[in-house]
Amino acid sequence: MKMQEALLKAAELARLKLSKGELEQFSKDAQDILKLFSEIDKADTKKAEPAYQPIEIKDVYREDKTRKCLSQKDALANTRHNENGYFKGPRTL
Amino acid sequence: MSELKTKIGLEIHTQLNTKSKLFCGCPTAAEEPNAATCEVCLGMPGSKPVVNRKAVEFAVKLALALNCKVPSGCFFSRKTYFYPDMAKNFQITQYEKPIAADGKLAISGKTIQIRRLQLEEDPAAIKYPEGMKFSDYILIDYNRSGVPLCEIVTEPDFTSPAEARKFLEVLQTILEYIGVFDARTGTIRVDANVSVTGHPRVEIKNITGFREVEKALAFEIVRQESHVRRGEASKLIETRFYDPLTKSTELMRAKETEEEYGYIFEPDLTKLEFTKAFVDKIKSELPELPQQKAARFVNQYKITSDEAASIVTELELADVFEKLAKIDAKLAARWISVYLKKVLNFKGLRFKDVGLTERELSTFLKMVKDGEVSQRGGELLLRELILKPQDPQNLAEKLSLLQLAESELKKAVAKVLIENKKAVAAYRTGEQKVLQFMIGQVIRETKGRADAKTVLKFLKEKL
Amino acid sequence: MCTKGLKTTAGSRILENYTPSFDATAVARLKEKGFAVVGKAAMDEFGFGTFSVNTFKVPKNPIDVLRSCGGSSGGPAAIVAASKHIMFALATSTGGSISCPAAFCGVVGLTPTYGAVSRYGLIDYANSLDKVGVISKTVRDAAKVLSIIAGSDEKDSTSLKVEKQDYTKFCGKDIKGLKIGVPKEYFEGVDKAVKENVEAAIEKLRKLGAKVERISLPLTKYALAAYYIIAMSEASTNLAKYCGLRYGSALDLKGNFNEYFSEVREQFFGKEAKRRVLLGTFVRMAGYREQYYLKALKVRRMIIDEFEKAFENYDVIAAPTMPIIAPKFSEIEKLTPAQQYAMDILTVTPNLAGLPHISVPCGFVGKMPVGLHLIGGHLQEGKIIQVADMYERA
Repeated sequence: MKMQEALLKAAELARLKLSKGELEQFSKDAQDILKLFSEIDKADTKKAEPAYQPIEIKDVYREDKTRKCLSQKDALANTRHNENGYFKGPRTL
Repeated sequence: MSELKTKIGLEIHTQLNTKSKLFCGCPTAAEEPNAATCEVCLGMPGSKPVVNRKAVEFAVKLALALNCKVPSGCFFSRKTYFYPDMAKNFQITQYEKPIAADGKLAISGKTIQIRRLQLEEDPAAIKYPEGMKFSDYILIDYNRSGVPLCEIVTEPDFTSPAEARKFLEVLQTILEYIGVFDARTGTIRVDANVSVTGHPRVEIKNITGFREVEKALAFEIVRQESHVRRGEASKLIETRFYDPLTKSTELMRAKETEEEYGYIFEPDLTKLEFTKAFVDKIKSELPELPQQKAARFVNQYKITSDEAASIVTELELADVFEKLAKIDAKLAARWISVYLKKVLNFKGLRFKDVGLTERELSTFLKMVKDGEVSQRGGELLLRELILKPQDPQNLAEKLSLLQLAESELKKAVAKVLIENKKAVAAYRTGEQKVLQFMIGQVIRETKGRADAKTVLKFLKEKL
Repeated sequence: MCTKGLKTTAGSRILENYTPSFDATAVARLKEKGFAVVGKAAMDEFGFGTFSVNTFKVPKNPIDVLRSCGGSSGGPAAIVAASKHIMFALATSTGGSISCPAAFCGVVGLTPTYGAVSRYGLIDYANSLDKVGVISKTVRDAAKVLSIIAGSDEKDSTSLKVEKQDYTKFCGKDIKGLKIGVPKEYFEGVDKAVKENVEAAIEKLRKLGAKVERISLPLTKYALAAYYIIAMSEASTNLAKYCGLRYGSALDLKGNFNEYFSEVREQFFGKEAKRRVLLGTFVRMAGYREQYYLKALKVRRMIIDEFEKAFENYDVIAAPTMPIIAPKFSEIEKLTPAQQYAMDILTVTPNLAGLPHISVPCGFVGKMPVGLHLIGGHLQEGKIIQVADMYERA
């Protein structure tokens, strides 16, 4: 089923380990929801520019100045996965 | 066997020399790991990015220096992918609306097209306690997370590893000239895409060092060629990494389809507009670029293009050359492009780190011009000055390298001739052996500061 | 919303024990004025929901405990409705998460213009849609709180450079001559009893001197799809950061990073969060991105333009806040996800367009409250406060 394939790919991309049951359930939900999404197919957007934000905002910058940052201790405070001032993470290979 | 052609494209990531990070006010480095971080560059929930104006100006400056077209504005995008060095598991970068596109840079007479130039944030730095292959876990330092990067993507116009390396060297010089990069604190990392005819494109990721880029490409080309010749070219798209220890490329991942980044426009950041006035202002701030400077040197100082190319590789060197050129342009060009560079290259030094002043070099050049030191003596003296900058006169004396100035030598020759009339007479009757004696006398008279060959020349002139 | 030193979970197990080291700007501004945070309230995980059922502690409607409080800010609405002493709560809206629970619990819910209040410290659901607002007992209190929390913030690039003002000055102003547009599309599919209450409320506004006219906003039918596509695509990227590394719930480090991340996210994300991350990732994928994500951005533009045209001729738009009264939990269980999303139909449109809106109680069906929704043009909080306040007093 094409939907299941696409959802499996999405699950892989999003690092969601779905069980077989979850995949089936989500595939069913997705059929409905995508039907809802496809409502916009009928909209004639040929002349419209995309709106990245609802209000036109532009040119917001900050100046190149340094500010006080977190201490190493505070930076690491929210996780037990740390060692000698570094964050610990799972291996990459 | 038909010639297998090589196509190489580069994606170059250069850190920009700003005081603070791209999206937050953290400094770009710290002594201790994770000591230059905040909720923004750690990707804590609720934090939001704000763009560093200077980083944008630097990126536009670089784009103009690389002859790119700068559009009327740009917009950031989110590139979502999971990796332990990503603070948010998405990188704020640019996709549909980058800072610039369609640039070009000429190297050794060939034009390399630059596809695009974009601004993005650096991920964190990973340390492997037991090397990439054998570590059970990794250590992550977010000091680097959020440092501004400029990514420059070239078309696959390179046909050899040497060409790629040359491009990188020229690029770095330009980066330094325009003041957006400092080699002492910043790094340039390269992803190289290479394919040999008949083999799918392979990406070698994250190579640091231009020599390493050349080596990685050379290795990979040989590897691909051997696969093609044996009919075993991989069908999968490979991503490899370069191991500088084994000097080989190794497989990182092989997939059937490209990695999917699901780009969306970064909704936490605003559109950045580039008005004509803004672009013109940045353009007006561009200094004379290395290639322009080299051409001017050839024209203005009548030096060779090879000499000019060598001198302009460092802005500080080019500047000092122009000062020395007032003394003697040709002499300065030769001594800088050949002898000075030789020592710097051998010792792996950059001129600006040596600390040799214009005054010291002027003195040196004058000494050489006046013959106060011989060719050999000059080379020795220069090498010592580079290792420990100081007054050349004093050093030359200490090292007994000083020769007499020509005028002084001529005086000494004349004196010896006057004091040794018998020997002169003997020479005039055909005794060649006397010459040796007289050379010895001159050398003794000048307390060893005479060059035997030059003495002989002057003696013969007088006799 | 991040509260320094106080657990902030966003209703999710993946942040179950997370304590931020900084205050959200809106919170900091209130603290500066002497207010104290007395607690955090329940909500749908990351804002994903219309009934506050997608979370570990489901709040019950104080008027009828078998019914939902609405969502995603169900907790704050319930507390303000039930408590004698708590006068207001901060809440956030992405698609209607302030208005809906306010309507279901019979309190006031004010959602300002996108960017009027800093989002710094707001744990993101969808960055181009999230707004910080107020749930309160009276319109005047909402206006008072807004005056404190609104205003530009250099830490949030999308916060508008609006001058601080005192919004309570719009209270007590009569509404004679103010033009109110009533879009017919907003009454389709609405429960009869709810409709009657809202129409009576609008009639009252007319009696108070406002000019009421029926209008049509035909692009309304695309709003739900456009909203959910944009919201889910942004949300799926916002939730990528939760992977058991720097903060939040974690497991022992085993396997490579793909295995570890997947395991953590599988265990600690709720079902609705997984669903939205999945769909949000899908609509950004190559081959789908053009027809969903990019198209939705264009639809948003068109809807905003349609509203702007309407506001050239009308000061305020009036409609029901929700198509139903607070449903029973047993009824919610029978709804499919798509059916639940469809409940947002009236609130998503102003949210998608970033327009300010306020829900005020306007009657009952049985003992369950009904909400009247007043929508204004960009940065026209004053007008909707004016009308809402006048209605409340009458």
